[in-house]
Amino acid sequence: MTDTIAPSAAHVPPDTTAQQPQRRQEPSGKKRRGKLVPYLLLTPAILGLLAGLGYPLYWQFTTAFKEYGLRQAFGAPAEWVWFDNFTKILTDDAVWAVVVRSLAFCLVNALLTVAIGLALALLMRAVSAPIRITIQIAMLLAWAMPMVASVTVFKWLFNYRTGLVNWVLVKLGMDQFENYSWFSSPWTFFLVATMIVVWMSVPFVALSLYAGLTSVPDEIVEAARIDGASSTQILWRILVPMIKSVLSIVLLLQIIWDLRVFGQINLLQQQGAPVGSTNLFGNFIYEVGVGRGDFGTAAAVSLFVLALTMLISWPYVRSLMKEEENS
Amino acid sequence: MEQNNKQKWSLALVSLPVIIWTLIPVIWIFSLAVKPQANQADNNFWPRGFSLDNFELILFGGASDLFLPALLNSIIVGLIATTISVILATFCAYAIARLNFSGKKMILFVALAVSFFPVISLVTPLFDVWRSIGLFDTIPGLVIPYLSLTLPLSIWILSAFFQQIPWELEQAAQVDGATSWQAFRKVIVPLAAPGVFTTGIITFFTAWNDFVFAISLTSESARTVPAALAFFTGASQFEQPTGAISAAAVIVTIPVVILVLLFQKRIVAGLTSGAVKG
Repeated sequence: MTDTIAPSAAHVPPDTTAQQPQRRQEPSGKKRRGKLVPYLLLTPAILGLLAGLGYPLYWQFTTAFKEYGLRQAFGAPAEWVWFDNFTKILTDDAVWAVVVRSLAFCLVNALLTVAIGLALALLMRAVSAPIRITIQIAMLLAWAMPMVASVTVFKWLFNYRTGLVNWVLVKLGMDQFENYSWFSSPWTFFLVATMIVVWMSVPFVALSLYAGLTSVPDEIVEAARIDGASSTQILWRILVPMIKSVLSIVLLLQIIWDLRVFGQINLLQQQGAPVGSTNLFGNFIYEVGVGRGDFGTAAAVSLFVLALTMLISWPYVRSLMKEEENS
Repeated sequence: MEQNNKQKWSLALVSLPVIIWTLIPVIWIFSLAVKPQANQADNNFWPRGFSLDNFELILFGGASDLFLPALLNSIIVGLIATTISVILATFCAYAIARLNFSGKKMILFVALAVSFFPVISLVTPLFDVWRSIGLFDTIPGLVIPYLSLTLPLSIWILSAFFQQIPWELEQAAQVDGATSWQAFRKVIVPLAAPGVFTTGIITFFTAWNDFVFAISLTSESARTVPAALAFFTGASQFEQPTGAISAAAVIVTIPVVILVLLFQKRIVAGLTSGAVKG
């Protein structure tokens, strides 16, 4: 172990810099060919995206500016009302409630997931191999469970009459949980929803981050420890910075997935939850569009969500793009 | 890295609740899947008695004409979507990571913006257009929306990954006398494989697990497992189909676990872009 410290510690910095001069040389050789090739390589992916997204995006962008209800869905001509749908939703308190709720849900879940995932990744790094493999297989099973099935399990776990959770809590002496209904108040509803989403998402994050941690050479950590760094310092000054790229990709994916949560909420709402106060973006759009048949308003909400999330995530996106440029 | 015994035990003690918390829902599903029909609602965590009736029901019995075609559809849709998505994303990410052209940032930006669009908003227009051009309830009718879900993310992940590959090795191989095809195949492909496998698994899982598109864009002939689960009914109308659903969940979990275990080494390497250096 110890005899490798010097070479590999010296090995790491040159690696990151080695790419710089390389990049500058390279275009000169391939300048001519390089003009058209990139676009040829991009075209299939763009066509693939357009096939699935082109018409829906066009439809949402135009419908948002039209009066488009059930009558129009069955063939009546849809009239342009321009920004009427937008003024309607922007002055609707229910819409703002959904916005606040969805963003809060997304942030809490994404950060909680990444934090727990990081903690578990560090735990896996510290424990002995048999325990680590047990954790890994447990997480793999949890991750691979179909969403519909895991939500069903949680519905049983939190069932007011026959659920395991109420049973345990009552056994522990908390009698107020006798027949306690978790789904009827928004706060406990989202508590359960958060548990489900976090339970489902932590495995991917933990396994990815653990994979990232394995690429940090032990020697660096060891060297820092010899130099007198505390465990917290090692975590924040060495481990976290060295897995920054995995960390930021995982956080980005998590934010996107948590913003798009739909099925979990939808399935839980069927347990008798108050729909109006438990809707997130997707569920609200679904209720307004498919439920009430007001497609114009639903389209306006979709575009509003898109604009809002782009605006909010802009600083993060920009820092990610800078990273891509620099590397 | 010497750990004393006390530290070891405290770590093991911390790990225990983690494992339990992760496994409780999983074990419950397995337990429900092997519980005999009569004990289905007894709320025992451990099954009293063991039976494969539920598996028989969905594989050979009354629910098999619902489950088996759905399983086949899930596999076909998952494999096709994954293959196409990975190939297209690889091309695109290669261009972004390696070639110089204008509009690079624009592409990454649009890919991300598209990912923020609420999935449910795609469903209504796709439903309409799929019905009118005959893609409703077909395999391509599901593959195409899955591409639009997974391509943007795959492009992001892969271009980040490709940027970390030491491409100078390719030239080094050419200097050593390899043809450019050999250099690509023997040097770059093995280095790029982990990242490609990782995006492949994420893509496959997205398609395998999707509920929203599956339930709205199919009726009978292209229905996949997550949607089919919603149509399971008990043996009589008073019985909950929990046993059958659990057995189906167990069956569809296994291929994903096997896939991951099979490609574990590569996936781990793919997630740690740093590992290819060195």
